[in-house]
Amino acid sequence: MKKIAIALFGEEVSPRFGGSMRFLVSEIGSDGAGAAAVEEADAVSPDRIPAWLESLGVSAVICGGIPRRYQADLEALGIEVIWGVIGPARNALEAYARGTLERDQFLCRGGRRGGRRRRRCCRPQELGDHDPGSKRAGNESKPG
Amino acid sequence: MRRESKPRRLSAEEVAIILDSVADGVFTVDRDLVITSFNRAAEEITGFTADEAIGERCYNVFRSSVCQGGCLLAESIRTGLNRSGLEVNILNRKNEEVPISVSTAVLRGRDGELLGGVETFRDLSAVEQLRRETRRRYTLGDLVSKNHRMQAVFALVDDVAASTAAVLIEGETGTGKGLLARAIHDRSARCERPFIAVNCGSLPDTLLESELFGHVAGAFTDARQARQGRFELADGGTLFLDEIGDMSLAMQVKLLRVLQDGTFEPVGASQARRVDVRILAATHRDLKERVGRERFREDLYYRINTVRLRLPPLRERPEDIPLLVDHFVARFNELTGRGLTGRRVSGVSPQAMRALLRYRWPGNVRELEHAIEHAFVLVKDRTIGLQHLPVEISGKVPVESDESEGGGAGGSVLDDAERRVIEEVLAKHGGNRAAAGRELGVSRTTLWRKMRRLGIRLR
Repeated sequence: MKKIAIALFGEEVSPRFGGSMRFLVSEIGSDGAGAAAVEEADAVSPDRIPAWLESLGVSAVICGGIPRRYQADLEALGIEVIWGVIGPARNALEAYARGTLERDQFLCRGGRRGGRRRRRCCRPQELGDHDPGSKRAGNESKPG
Repeated sequence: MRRESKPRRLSAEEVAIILDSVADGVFTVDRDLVITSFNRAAEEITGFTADEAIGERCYNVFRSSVCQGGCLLAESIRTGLNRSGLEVNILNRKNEEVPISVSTAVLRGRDGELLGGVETFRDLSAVEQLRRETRRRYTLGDLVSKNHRMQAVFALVDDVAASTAAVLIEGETGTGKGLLARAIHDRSARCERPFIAVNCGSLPDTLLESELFGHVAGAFTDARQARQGRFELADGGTLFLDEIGDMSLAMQVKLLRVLQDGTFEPVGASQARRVDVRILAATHRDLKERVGRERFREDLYYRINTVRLRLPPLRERPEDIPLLVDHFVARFNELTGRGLTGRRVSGVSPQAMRALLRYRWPGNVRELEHAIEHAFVLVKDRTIGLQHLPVEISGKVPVESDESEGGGAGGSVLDDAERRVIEEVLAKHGGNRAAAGRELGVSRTTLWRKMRRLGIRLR
């Protein structure tokens, strides 16, 4: 079992680690993602978030972007950082559990090249739940 | 001159060419913050192509420190007001932080209908580099100054640190004597060893002796266990003796012995101990004058005064006030997390700055630090105004420096409450400090310091 935490902005993956204290936390086992719960860091400052995540037993964090100092703090605690992910957090969680986060192009690590709009990695058709009326899977309204 | 015909309207393609020739990044969004155009400079600054950015929500491209709780573009769209001058940092395609300044405006169609917003932004990397260079030039450890007298002190520090000479630092309370001592230690060969500070002015002789030299078990009534003194703790490192001018003549004799032969005896011990400690001393008093009045030993004065560094009071270096304000604003933005939540304080208003420049600063830089901290508690917007400053500063009442020991902004509600509690507990224990300290959960020494600071006397 591996516990992961996805930084949240509304229902979406937070574009920047440290911009929000809310995380979608779930355990990933051989049969996929377990029940996911939204946890709020009881930290007074984003500097304390890495230690809080460690105390939860988290071993990987998913976010949009992350300032270097937080990445270094997390990695020093043995927590893997997966940045460059955008879109609905629950979809990212499922893709991670399936091991298809990269293949489904949720990831937009800076060096990725080729193709049109590679960063629009969580379009409905890529997730198999196409909704022509929506720009994003499961997220018709912008987060607040 | 009369125009023959109405000038033709530019095509969208021509507008795009113009935008691409602009040096600042420009992009537009619709009402849902989805990017609808993205110029060439925006591509260069962010590392994302227009093709990647257009159709994406702006916060997923810029990932700035204010995207999740202080977005200026959303505010412009909501209020219809233009906003400008906010400095934030974004993450570029490689996840590197890039400082930018941002201006935003609402976009409306010909009939006034809301279309979305437009943001222009400028890469401040070069400016930030210059700022860092300026900060480096005007900074020594945690001291910040561009004053020529302070710069002269800064210039000496590396040489002083490399020597083994005793150093006397002079300056009023709050000028940063402790920070200068720390900077000397940090630049010395002893930097990996301890830096221990003792305020000699806050303790009576019996406590100071035990504090400096330690004691053996049973040396006095409360000494159940042996305790190391500051000299032993600082072995191999630096001992900073603050307010050495307030030390009694009896203690001066004991200190002189350590400085002369490097040995001392803990209270109650019969055998001398040897230590290797570099002494840095500081005082807000005129030691030479105290020597003349026989309040300070001349031999000790020359022993601690191989090199003398003087820190001028803040009122004599007003050019440092804006620099220090920026320094403390940046520090409190970081400490309070405001810099990352969109509630970053950008600075002080011109009226507030005028009040800060007019004030006499009896508590010097420490008082300025407390004034900015006070303002951070009250300020809701991005600018500290006159109303957010402590009343003795905003009230435009110049306060004369009285060289008083406490300095600072005077008593507070918290001080009054603390004084009341201590007085009650002391009265309950008939003035027995050890018993009162036990009830309050503080040591006898700490209780003494608090009593002295709060002006509590035993009846």
